[in-house]
Amino acid sequence: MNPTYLDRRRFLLGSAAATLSPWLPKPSSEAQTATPRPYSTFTDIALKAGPTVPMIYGEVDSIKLIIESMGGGCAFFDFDNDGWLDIFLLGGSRLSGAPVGATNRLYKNNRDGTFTDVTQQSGLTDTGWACGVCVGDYNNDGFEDLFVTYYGHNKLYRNNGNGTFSDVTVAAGLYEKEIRFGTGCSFLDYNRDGHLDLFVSNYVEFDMAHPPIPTMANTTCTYEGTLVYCGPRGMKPGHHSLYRNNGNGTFTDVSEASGIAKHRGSYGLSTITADLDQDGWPDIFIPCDSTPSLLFMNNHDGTFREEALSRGVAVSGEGQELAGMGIGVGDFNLDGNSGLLVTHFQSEASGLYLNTGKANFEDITDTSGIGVERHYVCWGAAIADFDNDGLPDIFWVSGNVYPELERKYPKYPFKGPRILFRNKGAHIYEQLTTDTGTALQERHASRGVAIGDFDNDGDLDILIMNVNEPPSLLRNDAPIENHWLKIKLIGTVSNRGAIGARVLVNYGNKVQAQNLLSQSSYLSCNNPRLHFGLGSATQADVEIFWPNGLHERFNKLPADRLITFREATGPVPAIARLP
Amino acid sequence: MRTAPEDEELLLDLVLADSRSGLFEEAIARSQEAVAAHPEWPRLATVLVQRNRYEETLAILKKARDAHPEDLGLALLDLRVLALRGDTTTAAPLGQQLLSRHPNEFDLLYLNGLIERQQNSYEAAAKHLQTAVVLNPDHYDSRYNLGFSLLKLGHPEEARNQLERAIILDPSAPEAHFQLAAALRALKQPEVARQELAAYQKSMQVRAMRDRDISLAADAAQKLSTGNTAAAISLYAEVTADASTNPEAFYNLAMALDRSGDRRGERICLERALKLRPAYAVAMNQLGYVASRENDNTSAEAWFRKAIAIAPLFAEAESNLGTLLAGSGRDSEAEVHFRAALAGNPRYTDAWINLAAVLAAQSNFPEARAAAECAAH
Repeated sequence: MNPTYLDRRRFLLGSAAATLSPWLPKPSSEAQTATPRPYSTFTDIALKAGPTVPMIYGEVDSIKLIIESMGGGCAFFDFDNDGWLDIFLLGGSRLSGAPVGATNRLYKNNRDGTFTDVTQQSGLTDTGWACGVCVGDYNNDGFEDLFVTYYGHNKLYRNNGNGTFSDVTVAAGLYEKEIRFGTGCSFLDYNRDGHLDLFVSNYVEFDMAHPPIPTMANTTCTYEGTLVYCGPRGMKPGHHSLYRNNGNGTFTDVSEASGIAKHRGSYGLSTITADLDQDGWPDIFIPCDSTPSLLFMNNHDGTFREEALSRGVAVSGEGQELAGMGIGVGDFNLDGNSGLLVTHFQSEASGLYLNTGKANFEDITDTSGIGVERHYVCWGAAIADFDNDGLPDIFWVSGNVYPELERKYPKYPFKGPRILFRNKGAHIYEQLTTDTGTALQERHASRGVAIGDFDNDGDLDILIMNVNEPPSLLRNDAPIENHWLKIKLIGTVSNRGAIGARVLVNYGNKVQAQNLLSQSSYLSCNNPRLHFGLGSATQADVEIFWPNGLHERFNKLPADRLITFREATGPVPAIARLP
Repeated sequence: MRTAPEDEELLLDLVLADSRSGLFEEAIARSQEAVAAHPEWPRLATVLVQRNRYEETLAILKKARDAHPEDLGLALLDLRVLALRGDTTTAAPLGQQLLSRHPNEFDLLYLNGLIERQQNSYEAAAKHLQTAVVLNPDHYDSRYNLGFSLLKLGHPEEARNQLERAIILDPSAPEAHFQLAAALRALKQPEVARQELAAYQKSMQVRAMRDRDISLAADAAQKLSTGNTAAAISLYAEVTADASTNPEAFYNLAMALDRSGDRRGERICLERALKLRPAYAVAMNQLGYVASRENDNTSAEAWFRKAIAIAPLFAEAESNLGTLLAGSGRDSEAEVHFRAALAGNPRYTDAWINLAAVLAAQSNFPEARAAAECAAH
């Protein structure tokens, strides 16, 4: 996560070689403009609601090794199938040894706005350098399982359906002997056999016993003349893995056979799997740090081809490799195609990529207005309609990776704010700050973000993993005049959780696409129930493109409710009622 | 800096020589010391930019500009660093203000165009860059940024012309290939666009490999400094495998081999470095040292003289040559070279000591005593 490479070869010879534009424009407060329509307000209720344990991740005042800088992801998922979203948070360790309580955390939703820490009872008590989480029902038993990536050894936790989880990594054939730096992961059914396969991205090759020693001579270990941890530049990239689900609880490594393994050279972080070109087969996108991002297009025969560069999403519109931290997926321009939001390092604008149809992308960062914000290192991200006005907004969190830097230059604070851009339509966004409550201005070193409606009140709340602090749980209070629709999918021929499904919702004169993802944001997982703001529309038409190819359409569905669809059956009674 | 050259240009040359040789820390130390002694020489601080140290550079420039508000050279330098940093909020008004006072200054036309391009003000950028290109047709960055702006303005054919000219000026610059590919796609030439993207990728891979090699080399240097010569050799060898056309990589490996006593390997690596960079003074000096160690004084003298001919202020080569000459009784010749070494590096203790010795050998005791005192201080 070092800064973008700047070519200054001509500098001393008399001419600036600035061929890119990382610029630091006006501060956030000036970017704010008056909002004519009411918007959501956000309140951080974490300390009252229950997720109160600090998430240990590296030392507080100094980061010596790259593993300490990562922070973890988080997930909103419903592990006990009670219809209320529970919380899973990933934690790390310390170089001096794991303090007591350093572990991942599972919080059960008490259905009253509070949570109970059930980590011990659930068995999810592993300690290590956890990075990413993806959620999926890999054994089609109706309970969502967890896969967690680590610096070390990744783990598959099977949901036993009784509130406990079992580490089945070895039995499932997913244990790797070598130490790897797992980061992104995503369940997907790449061969459409109804069983969820697994993709895992890796960051760098790193030997904790023999780490690079920072010196001023090594530019990959300095920032603005300050010694910082080394990397990722200068390190060997990790190699990415694809595991095929054998349908019997085990997996087979098909990285070589699928063509994934040959694509090295990029530092992979978060991973999303979705049918981006709408050919009915899931593709894989990996934002990569300081290297070109990767887009693996599904060849429908068990193999993939990498086409990020030619499809316009490998680098910035100026051809620059950026930091590629987090990713949001959403149809922000309401044309039925899912675009991408990729967050980057300070001095780099987060990238907004318009999907012009068949997974060909156009970088609209600067014209959209989000390019004004370049002050912070940015992580977990989402394209989500927080105020239910029918226009998906843009959100991300921030937090620096160099605590040493702030002591020398206060302009690079270690803790940063949350960034929210309101969708004004026509690809234009405006940054919101004070009108949304104080929670967005509170500063933390944040990493993972998950979006979901934990209190089932019809708007999207935000869960944030903060490094060495308790998480944040931002309760959204959306304008009550706007309507919404939630969709839960149950696969029958397709994988049970319908991961990979694409849903189009028509409301008013708009159409919005959403994909059911196993991971997005920064190494995190959103609510698997798809949430559509409808604005003033009180009904909507729904089209479902199931992972196995079935296309269904349902018209004039009433707003303000959760509707559960079973594949080839249609709407079925929901498990839990919403108010 | 008690006897440093009292000349900003000369010091700048030295700093540039260090940085071109990859001796960035030496260059930075030299420039920081000079700026501390001579705040009116802020150009020396720009070597910091090469190490991403913008904040320090801008602070030095601000101090200098406050002291010399009418100095156009300083203002240009400040603007250049701000533009490179991407701080258009500060750079844009400064650039406009300067351009209004110096409307025909090439650097200002180019920098204003660049800043406007960074701000997505493509029409204004194109206007300034077109004028800059007329004034300096061989300026890569003006051509590149003009091509970029024209593409954004919907003129792919004109953009293509500028970008192709930019690539002729610097075929290794990836960004121009990337934008040319975009222009060619707009011109419905997808196959040629693919070729340009391939060229872009190749350039980026070279850049990534260079980053990796910098990291490996730094790691190797660290290993060498802690006495782990074998590990250093292994890492340097990895760099030479990656960067088989990089003379500095072979030189570094040679120095590690020297430490391990592998004389043959050292010589082979030095010769390889020289083959890759025929005017590589540092490698010549080391070959001279290798030759003198093998008692081949004729070759040694020739190597030292070649090194000095290429780098006249190369203190180590001058001192080595002086030592060689003194060893064969050519004291007056040796004296000349020790004095030259000290002109290049007044803090070169060994050169002061050797100068004292050859002066004493010539019975010039007062100066010998003075030289010895300099060595002691």
